[in-house]
Amino acid sequence: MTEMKSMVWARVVAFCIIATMLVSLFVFMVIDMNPKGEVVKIPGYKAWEKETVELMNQLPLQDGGRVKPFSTHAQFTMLRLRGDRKIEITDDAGEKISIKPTQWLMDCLFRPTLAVGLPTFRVDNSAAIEAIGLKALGRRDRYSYKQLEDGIPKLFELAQSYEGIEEKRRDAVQKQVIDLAYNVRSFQFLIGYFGFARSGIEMKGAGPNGESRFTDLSTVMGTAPMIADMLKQNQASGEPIPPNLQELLQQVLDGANYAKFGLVMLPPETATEKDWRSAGDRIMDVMTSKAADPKTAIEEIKLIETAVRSVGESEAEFRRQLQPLVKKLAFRATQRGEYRAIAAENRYNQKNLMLYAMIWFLLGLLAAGLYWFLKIFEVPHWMQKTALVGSLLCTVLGLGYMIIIISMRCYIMWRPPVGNLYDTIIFICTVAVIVLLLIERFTREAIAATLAPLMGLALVLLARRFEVGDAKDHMDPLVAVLNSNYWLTTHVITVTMGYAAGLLTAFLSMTYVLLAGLGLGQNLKKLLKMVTTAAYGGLCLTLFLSLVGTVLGGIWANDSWGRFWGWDPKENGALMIVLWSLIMLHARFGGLIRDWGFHLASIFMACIVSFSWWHVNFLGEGLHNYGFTSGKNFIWFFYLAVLLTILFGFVLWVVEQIRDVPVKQTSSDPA
Amino acid sequence: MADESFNVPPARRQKSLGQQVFGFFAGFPLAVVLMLILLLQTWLATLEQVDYGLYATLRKYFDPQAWYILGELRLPDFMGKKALMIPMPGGYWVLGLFFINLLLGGIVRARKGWKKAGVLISHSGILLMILSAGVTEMTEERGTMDFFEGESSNVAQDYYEYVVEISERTAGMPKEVHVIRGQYLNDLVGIPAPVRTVRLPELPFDMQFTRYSKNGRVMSVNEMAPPADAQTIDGYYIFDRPPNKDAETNIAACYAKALPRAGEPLPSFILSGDAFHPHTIKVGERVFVFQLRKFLWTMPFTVRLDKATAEYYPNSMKPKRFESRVTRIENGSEANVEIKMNMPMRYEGLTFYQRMMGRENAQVANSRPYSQLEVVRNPADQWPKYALYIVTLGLFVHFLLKFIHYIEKNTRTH
Repeated sequence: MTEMKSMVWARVVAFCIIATMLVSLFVFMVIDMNPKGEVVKIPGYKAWEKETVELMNQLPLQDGGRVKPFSTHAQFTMLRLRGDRKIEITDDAGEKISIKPTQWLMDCLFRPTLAVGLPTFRVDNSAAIEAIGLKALGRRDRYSYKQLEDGIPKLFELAQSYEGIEEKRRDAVQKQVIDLAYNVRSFQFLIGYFGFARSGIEMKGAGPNGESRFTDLSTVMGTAPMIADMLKQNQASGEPIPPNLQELLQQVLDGANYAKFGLVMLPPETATEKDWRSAGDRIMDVMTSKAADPKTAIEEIKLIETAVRSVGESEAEFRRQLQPLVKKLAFRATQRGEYRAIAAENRYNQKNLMLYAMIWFLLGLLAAGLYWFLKIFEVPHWMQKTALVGSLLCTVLGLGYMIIIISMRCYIMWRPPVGNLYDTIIFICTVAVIVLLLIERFTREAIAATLAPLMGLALVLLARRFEVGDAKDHMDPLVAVLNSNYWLTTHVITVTMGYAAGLLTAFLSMTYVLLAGLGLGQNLKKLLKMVTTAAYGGLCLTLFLSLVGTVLGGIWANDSWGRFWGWDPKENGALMIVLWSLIMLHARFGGLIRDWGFHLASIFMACIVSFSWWHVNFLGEGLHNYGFTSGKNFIWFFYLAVLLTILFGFVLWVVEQIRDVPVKQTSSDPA
Repeated sequence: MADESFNVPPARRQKSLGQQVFGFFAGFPLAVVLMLILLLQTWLATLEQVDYGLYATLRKYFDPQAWYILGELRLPDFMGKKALMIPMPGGYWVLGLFFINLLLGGIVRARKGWKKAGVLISHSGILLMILSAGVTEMTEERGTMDFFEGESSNVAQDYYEYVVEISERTAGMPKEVHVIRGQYLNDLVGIPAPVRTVRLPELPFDMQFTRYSKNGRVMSVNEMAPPADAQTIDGYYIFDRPPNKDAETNIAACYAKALPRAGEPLPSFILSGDAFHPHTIKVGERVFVFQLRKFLWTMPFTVRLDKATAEYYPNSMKPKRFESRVTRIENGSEANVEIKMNMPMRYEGLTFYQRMMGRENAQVANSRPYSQLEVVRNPADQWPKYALYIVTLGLFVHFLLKFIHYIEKNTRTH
């Protein structure tokens, strides 16, 4: 008995060491992948008040083909430039301030002198910084506009020359230079967007004593018909445009050009028009007599000017001036039926539900770990049960958050839950956890209850990582061919559930290898049989969902593109899942593989699902291609980890065969 | 330890040769091996299409004439830019053998009974699916129909097949068009290239073709010196380029020669898919024109494009809706139909899909819009759908029975 206990101890210690090594390796990789992120001091910085931020978030914008709140636009702009959702700085008093996306974008728009000091630009390859003649900080680091300013001409020059190189042939430095140039250009548009409101229009020599006088651009817009008449008269008489008028028009043009990109915030004047206008567009509409309702356009620009100028007075005053602008634009968006989900989307952005889901899954996993620890050392049953119930409760709470996330996204997007790769991650996470909890309901061996928070946690981490790497708003509308709620509900959901089933089957088989290999569990044989049955059920589900989903996709393709099967990489990937499932089932029925073979093949399913779900996107081919490359190297680590698990299982199987030979010989003895 | 469905069948008595052959073709081992090969081929074809394009890859893997193929696996960059060549049987024949295996093993030999009903149903569905793929491969015709708003058309242009069109001109108008299909030209490749004579009894001459190039460019010898083995005609020759990744953009070319049955022999000439004008010859007093062009097939009705609508999401170039309102004209009667993404027009065995939209001049917002429809003739068009219903029903029945069995067993145990 003592020998047994020491064996269990040895195995648990070995398991803990291996697990710690793997987790450390993972943490080290994550730390290495992230920039250093020193906390910088920004003199004169004052955090925005909560009321101001909330008011700003209510501002609707048109971006990516839909109307969304300011908060969403800020979030993805910041992710694209900085690769993060917050900036930590210290103020004059040394107090730490955490700047979130909305605050950051407000700084860019309303306090550009402070914004240029914020470490906004993520640079993953310091060679790019050296290439533009600046001194690099860390290997991966973040830079402020001020720090990059001297290298910007060189940056643009290099980026222009690198863009001539075919995308696939660009090296890492060239890619980084191009990305950085685009990000710097976007930032310049943001800090210059309200420049027309800050500086006004200088009218040289218009003062009583010949000095310069400043006026609002909106005032100049009010004189647009007069200016147009003057220009016509000049044109008719053949006289040149007076220099003061020419200079005035140049200032208007400059102001409008800077306010052309960045924020498309003004709803169109007529109900039939779909395209919203930026402030710059609106200015030019009026100045070129194209505006259907110049009075409203001038009023809007006037409101912007008043709000922007009030920033220097006090925040309360700024809020007071900002309110009518936000209210007016929100009202017009509501009238057009485009403000429906703004409040819900703001709530979604602010609540950070994914973080809560992650925390609950983590707690669920820890509680499950505690349960196994208590079970191995045979502590009183009620303690084991408490740990298990705690784990289940945490997992259910995590699941609850995932369901809320999916429901809110459906409401905001007004379409079924899966339409892009990001959607698939959260959907697979939810489905996998539900199925595992159902398996636990039937098996009651705590295996599926342990796997549920583990898979939940892994997939939530993946979702967060992908969102940061991709830096795109995944709630934007879908292209015409995908825009079919019927097919999104049937084909896409079925195939995605097939991925979930395939992955959880592989996880179950990994558990089999772990249990059998380390000899964990009191009633090992019973436990192993249960895992085999569950994995078998998972495989049947994978086959059913993948086959039906794939063929439904074929029928959709037949209706859209006129061919049932187009050898699109995504379609092929789904077919590979179907084929592998069939191979496993037929090999098992035909007696070609037994339990160990079944589980090792089942673990390999994780590679096939990952290829189909994830890897095909890197190929850059096909109609399902999402065109992203972030996390390209992670997939190889994943394949390696899966293959090592298979190798580990294979070694264990060989050991088991060698160990069992004498036993078999004895037992098969006819005596 | 294992579930009862995992039990290995018990050993049986000695079988006759016929039974052994049947057993081999109907057996699980063959099924598993064939599916493994299909899996490997699907994977390799997915990777290869990145480098060679879809059309060329599929021709390589699933050409009925290819008994074996060499699959190419490019290793990741960090393992060196190398490729492994994997020999394997041709996909077309693997699929054929798999059909036989499934028919014999999954239907003929499979145990019959209500417990196995689901398996039998789903196997039948898969057989129908493979059959529909075969019928599609052998009979499908596919082309495009392009027209501007207000225009009508009753022909579709094939995607890939180049044909030689010969017509006699009388009073400046073509009389009857004689078509030599691509199958008589496609294999005239290699050095030295074979020469093929095509008999044309209705015309006063036969035709001879050689050196067909799938993607050839007619070059002047002044532009680039021809290779040593090139055939030069009037200072021009065909420069054989590698096929494009998008096979429909290939431009074919070949050398041709008319062989009059009487009179003087005529000189050779070059036919090219991107020639500005057809080639003209005179045989006696009769004038004939020759053209190498994509095959045109005629519809039994005419389609008129009434309105082409391309809608994009606001402030973006993301397509929201592509829609062609057309009128189908047949024997004097007209029918108005809408064709849009996910909603094709199916009529008289032909299916019209919305493919592309554009404007005559992309820079001018109000220039004439055009629409490109994809036209497909495929008798097995809807078979996969029926196969899906059958397979879904079969799998559902089978797995439901299994699940009920498991629950019952579990309840008894507890």
